[in-house]
Amino acid sequence: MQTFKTYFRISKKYLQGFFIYVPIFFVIMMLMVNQQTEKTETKFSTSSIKISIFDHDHSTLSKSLADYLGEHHKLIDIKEDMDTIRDEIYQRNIDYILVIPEGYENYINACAQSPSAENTDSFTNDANTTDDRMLVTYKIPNSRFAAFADSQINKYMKIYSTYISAGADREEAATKTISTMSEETTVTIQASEKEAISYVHIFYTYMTYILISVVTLCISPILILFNENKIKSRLNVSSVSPLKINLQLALASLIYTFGITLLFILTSFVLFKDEMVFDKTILRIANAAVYALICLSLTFLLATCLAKQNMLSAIVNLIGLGQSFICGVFVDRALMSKVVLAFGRVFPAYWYVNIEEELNKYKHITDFTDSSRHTVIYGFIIEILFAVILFMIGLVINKNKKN
Amino acid sequence: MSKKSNHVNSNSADLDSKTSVIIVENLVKRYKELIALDHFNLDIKEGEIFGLLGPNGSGKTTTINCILALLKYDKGTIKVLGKEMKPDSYDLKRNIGVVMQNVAVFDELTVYENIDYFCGLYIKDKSTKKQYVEDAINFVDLDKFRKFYPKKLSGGLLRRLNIACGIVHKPKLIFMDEPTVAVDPQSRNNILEGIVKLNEQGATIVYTSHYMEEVEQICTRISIMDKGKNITIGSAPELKKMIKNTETISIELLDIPEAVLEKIKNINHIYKTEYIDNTLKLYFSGGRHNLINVLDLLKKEDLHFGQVYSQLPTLNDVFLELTGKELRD
Ligand SMILES: Nc1ncnc2c1ncn2[C@@H]1O[C@H](COP(=O)(O)OP(=O)(O)OP(=O)(O)O)[C@@H](O)[C@H]1O
Ligand SMILES: [Mg+2]
Repeated sequence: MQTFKTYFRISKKYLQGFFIYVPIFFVIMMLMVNQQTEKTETKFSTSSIKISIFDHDHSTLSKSLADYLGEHHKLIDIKEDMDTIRDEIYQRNIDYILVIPEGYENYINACAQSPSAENTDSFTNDANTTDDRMLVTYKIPNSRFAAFADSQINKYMKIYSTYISAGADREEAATKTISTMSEETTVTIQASEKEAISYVHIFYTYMTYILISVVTLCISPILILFNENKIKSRLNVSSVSPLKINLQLALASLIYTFGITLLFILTSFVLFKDEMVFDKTILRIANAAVYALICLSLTFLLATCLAKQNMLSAIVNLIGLGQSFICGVFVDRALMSKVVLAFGRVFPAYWYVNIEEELNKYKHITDFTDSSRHTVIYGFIIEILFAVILFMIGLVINKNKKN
Repeated sequence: MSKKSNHVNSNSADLDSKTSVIIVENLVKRYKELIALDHFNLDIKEGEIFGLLGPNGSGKTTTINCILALLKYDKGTIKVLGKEMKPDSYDLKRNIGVVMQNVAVFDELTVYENIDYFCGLYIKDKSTKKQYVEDAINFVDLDKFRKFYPKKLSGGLLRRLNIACGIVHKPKLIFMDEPTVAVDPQSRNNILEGIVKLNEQGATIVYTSHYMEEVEQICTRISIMDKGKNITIGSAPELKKMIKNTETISIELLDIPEAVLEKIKNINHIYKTEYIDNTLKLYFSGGRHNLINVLDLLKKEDLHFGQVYSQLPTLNDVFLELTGKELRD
C-alpha cells in the first residue's frame, strides 16, 4: 500500500481547492440563510398578527372571540376613530381591525337557530355589504395576514354557529368553539412550518457546486502526477504491476472523495440537526454519495486529458459554476427559463437538484406522490449513468493515449 | 584515481568466462520512419560498468528502454539475468535499478519521502526499508537535505536524489541514463565515485553518456554508438589501440616556411599534419620519441615557437576516425 500512503502524503499539498471553496461555501450559505430568514419571519408571523378589537357587544361570544384572537395574535389598543384607524392601517402598525357590533351574539344565535338559516357562511362585512348586524373589519388590502385573520374569524364563527344550531347554550358553545379552534390552529401552524424554506435544502442544493469543485481540485492534481510520463515509466520499471498501483490510486481516490462528502454531510448534521428528518436524510446522503461518484469520474477524466495542472482550475470553475447556474443550484428554479433548464439536463447537477427539490416538497418520503417517487428514482439512475459514462470515457482516452 | 584505473585496465579478454547479465541480439527499433536501433548487439557481463557512449540521438535511451521492456521493439531478442524481459517480469524487475535520464521524482514529497516511496515499491519489510533508505541517503550524501523538497535542490543534488531513488533497493543490475547531465563538476565527481562504489559492492552497471571523459574514467567496457548502430565495443585502451593515431603533438607557431613543413612531414611515424590558427598539429602512429624528434628539428631550423604539447588519443579520436565526425557537436 506504498502508493496508497504516498497518495495521501501528496494530497496534503493540494488542499488549496478545499481551503478556497469551503469558506466560499459557508459565506454563501450564510447569505442565503439570512435572506431566507427575512422571508420566513414574515411567514411565521402569520400566526401572530397585530389586531385591534372594538367590542360593542360585551357578550359571551364577543368576549370569547376577542380572547381567542388575543391568545394567538398581538392585541393593540387604539382609539376608535376613523382617522386613527386609517392612519394605523396605512402605516401598517396594525394589520387588522375588528369591530363587533352591539347585539351581535343575539343576531348570530337567532340566525343559527332559525330553521330558514340565512347566509351563515358569512360573518363579516366585505366590500359590498354594510350589514350593521355583522362584523366590520378594516385591513391592509391584499394582505396575507388579513386574509389569514379573516379565515380564522370565519372559521371561529362557523364552529360557534354549528354548536348553537346543535342546541348548545351560549356559554357551552363559546368554550367548545375555543377548544375546537385550538386543535385546528395547531394544524395550521404545522402547515406553515412545512412551507418554510429549509436550510438543509439550501445546504444540500448548494453542495453540488462545492463538491464538484473540491473533489476535482483536490484529486485531479494527484492523478495527473502519477500520469506523468516520467513517473509512469519509472513505476513501470519497478516490481509493482501498474494494475496494483492503479487500484491503490483508485481506492485512495474513492476514500478521499467520500471523506470530503462525509465532511459536508456531518457539517449539515451539526448545523441543522433539528431540521433533519431521518428518512429524507438517508435519501439526501445517497444523493450526495452518487453525485460524489460523478465528481470522481469527472476527476479521473480530467486527469486523463490534462497533462499539466495549469488549466485545471479554469476548467473546474467553468464546469462547476456553469452547471450551477444552468441547473438551478444558485437560482431558484421557479425563476429560471424553461429553455435554460432544458439545457441543464446534460449536466449531473440537474438530476441531483431534481431529487433534492422533490425531497424538499414533503416532510416524509412516505408522503411522496407517484410522480415524485418516479422523479427521484429516475434522478438516481441518470446520476449513476453519468458516473459510469464519464469513467468509461476516461478509460477509453487512457487506452488510446498508451498506443 | 587508482581504483578508476583498475577498472579501465581490466581486460575484456577474460570476460568470456563470466556470466552474461544482459544479452541483446539484432535489436531493431523503429519510431515510424526513423530507425532508432539498427541490428544492435550487446553482451554485458556480471560486475561490469558498461558504457554506452554516443552523441545525442544515437539511441542510448532507446536501447535502455527496450531492455527494460518500456518500449516494444520490431526485431531481436533481449535477455536480462538469463530470462526474457517482458513488461510483467516483476521478479526480474525486483533486481533492477533504473536511474532515468529525466529526473523522475515527486515535487510534492521531500527527499526522504521520495526515496522511501521508491524503496517501498520493492521492499515490503518496514525495518529493512528504513535501513535501505538511510543507506541510500548516506550514499548520495543528502543527509542534510532529507527534509528538502526537490524544487529547493540544486541541479546536482536533484540528480543525486534521482540516483538514490533508483538504487535504494540495492539492485544487482543498475541502469543509469546520463545521470550527470547538467551537473557541476564537483557533483559529477561525487556521482562517478558513487557509481564505482556501487560496482564494488557487486552491482553490474549500464551507464550511458555523451561525455567521453566520464565513460573512460569509470567504464570497464564501452560500446560506441552512432545512429542506432554499435560501432565498436571494448575497454578504453582497447578502443584506442584500434585506431591509427597514437599521439598528437600541437605546436604554437606564428609562421612556418613551406620548406620546414616538408621536413617535418618526413619525421618518422607522422601520418598527417595540419596548420590551422597558428597551431601546427602533427598526428603520429606509433614511435617512441616523437616529441624529441619534433623539438630537435625545430631547434635546428631556428624557429621560434610558443607552447608545445603532446596528447594521447581520446575516445573522441576513436569516434572521429570511425565515423568521420566529432563526438560532440
Ligand atoms: N518517442 C519517440 N518518438 C519518435 N522518435 C523518437 C522517440 N524517442 C526517441 N526518438 C528518436 O530516436 C532517436 C534515438 O533517441 P534516443 O533518445 O534513444 O537517443 P539518445 O542517445 O538517448 O540521445 P540523448 O543523448 O539526447 O539522450 C533520436 O533520433 C530521437 O529523435
Ligand atoms: Mg537519452
